[in-house]
Amino acid sequence: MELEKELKEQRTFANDAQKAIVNLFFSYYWTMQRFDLFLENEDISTQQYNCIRILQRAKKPISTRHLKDYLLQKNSDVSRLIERLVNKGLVETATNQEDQRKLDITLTEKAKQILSRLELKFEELWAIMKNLTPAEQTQLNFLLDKMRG
Amino acid sequence: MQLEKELKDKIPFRSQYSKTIVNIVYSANWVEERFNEYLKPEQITWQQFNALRILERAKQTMSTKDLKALMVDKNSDASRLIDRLVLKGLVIKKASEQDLRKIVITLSDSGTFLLKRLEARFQEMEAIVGNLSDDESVSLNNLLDKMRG
Repeated sequence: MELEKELKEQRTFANDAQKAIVNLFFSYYWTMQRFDLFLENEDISTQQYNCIRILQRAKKPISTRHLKDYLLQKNSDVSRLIERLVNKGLVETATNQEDQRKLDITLTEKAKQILSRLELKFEELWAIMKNLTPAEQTQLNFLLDKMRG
Repeated sequence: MQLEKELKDKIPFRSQYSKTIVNIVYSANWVEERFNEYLKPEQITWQQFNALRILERAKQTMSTKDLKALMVDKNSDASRLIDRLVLKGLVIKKASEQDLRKIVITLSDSGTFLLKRLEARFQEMEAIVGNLSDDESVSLNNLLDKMRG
């Protein structure tokens, strides 16, 4: 739906650039809300999910520093995020053998089970984008890439 | 730059759907970072800016609840956000003239001046999406609107 109609606030934009900025934020929150629904039964946040997926893809323990680089939300407090994941029993931490200052993070069995369960319903996640045809998604990706320069 | 090249995580996406979702999250965070740079001289975050602009456009006092309803980021803690703005002297809390039991908020003079200063720099803000031509901004808006259905 057109952004102006969807926003609770009746407003007009000075130009399409201004609207694009608001639209991107609005669409981001919209996407996150749907992502939360996908994770609803697993009691984890999108950020926690993002973390354990990074660990799963890495297929080996990674350091806190590494994890921070891989996260999409750069302003997140990684130490706190890891602390929460440890408390939930989703990751384990151990001092790195070669460098005592580094902390290695590993997925637990519990986290692996969550990821397997979610994998079965990945299509639900992808359905977030179902209103766009493949060609439109290509176009959207192209524009976002170009925007970031 | 192409998303795959920009991400530190070099593992390919499982589907175009995944890529589009990641691109939206990544791009919104990218815009937020730039937005925060633009706001840095004023020492406010974009959520605070967003709240101040809503108050400015409303041209009248509002309740916290009304303000929250108009905010794009539904997860943000509006009461805490307003308390911070009050501490910074940008917003004033007072009893409603219609109903003395109700608390309403309004922009302070320094809040109004801050917005005036930023308004003079609006072009800088729009330059965040400056890599896109006008037509491309229109396309981006159309695609995001269509995505949300």
